Amino acid sequence: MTADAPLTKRQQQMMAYVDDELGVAERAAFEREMEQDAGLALETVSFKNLLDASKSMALAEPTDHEMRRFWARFYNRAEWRLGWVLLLSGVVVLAVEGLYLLLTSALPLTVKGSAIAIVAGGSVLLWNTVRLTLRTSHFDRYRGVMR
Amino acid sequence: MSVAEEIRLIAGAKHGDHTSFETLVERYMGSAMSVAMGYTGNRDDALDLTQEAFYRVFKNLDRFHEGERFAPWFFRILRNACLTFLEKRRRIRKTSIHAREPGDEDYPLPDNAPGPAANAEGQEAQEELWRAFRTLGVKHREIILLRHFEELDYASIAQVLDIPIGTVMSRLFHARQKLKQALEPYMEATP
Repeated sequence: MTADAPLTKRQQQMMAYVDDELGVAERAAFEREMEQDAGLALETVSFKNLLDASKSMALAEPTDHEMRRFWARFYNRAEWRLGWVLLLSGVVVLAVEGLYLLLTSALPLTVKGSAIAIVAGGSVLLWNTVRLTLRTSHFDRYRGVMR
Repeated sequence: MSVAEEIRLIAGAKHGDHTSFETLVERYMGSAMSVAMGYTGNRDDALDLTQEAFYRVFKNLDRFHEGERFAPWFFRILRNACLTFLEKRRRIRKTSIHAREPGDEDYPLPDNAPGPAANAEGQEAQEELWRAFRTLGVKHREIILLRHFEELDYASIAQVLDIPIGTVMSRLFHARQKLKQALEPYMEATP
């Protein structure tokens, strides 16, 4: 996006007038200027009309269903996150411990290799699924549907 | 809701009073949904992002200083959530089978994006205004949302967008110019 060009003093005053950001004296001075310049008055009025028209736009008031959805998952979000952190921490610790026990055991090398391959393959698939779900869940068009 | 009432609610929420927090949410819910829809063009996304913003508020109430105004602080959090979401969506589009289109960095709204009042009585003028609004880039959309719909003053808008007041004025001017241009066909057709 290209940057917006800076405004002239007059354009700044026009914006401030429309948005009611001028002091009393500045406002009166700008109104006197408008009386003498029909073009300025016309442009200012068109901005003012645009502001008034959009103020009448209705807000997106949430429906009862949306409010239920909003609160249903609100306060338990922290618990949800904590649960995942604890679960994943436990899995990682167990996996490391299990790997150590496996490597230091007297099992044949083929069994050790197969066990490692199964755990590694499962972890990659699980990680891939979780990552994909996290990345795309926001864009699932059916996520708002209550089942 | 008066400023004093808002301060009382925030103080209550800070001390763990859920009723105060829920009243605060009710007060800002419609505004927040409208702003989020202006960013995303989708009601479901807007609801999720509004929830995310309120959750961040809930978690960070301790960081909110007494005497500070709530609206700019809240809309800044909401804006960050919306922009993060739009950036993620853009990245997914970039790597998906859908080709990236010119102007994607403006986070354009889809042509069929419903307006905030889609669930209310659809008035023709509001529909036209929303149609024109959809044609703006995200920078212009957000400043129009904050000034026209939320009626924030220049100082608050500057705080939300982290830009100087002079830039607020010039961005508003150019956004309004573009909005007027987009509305011209409708204005000409209206007697």
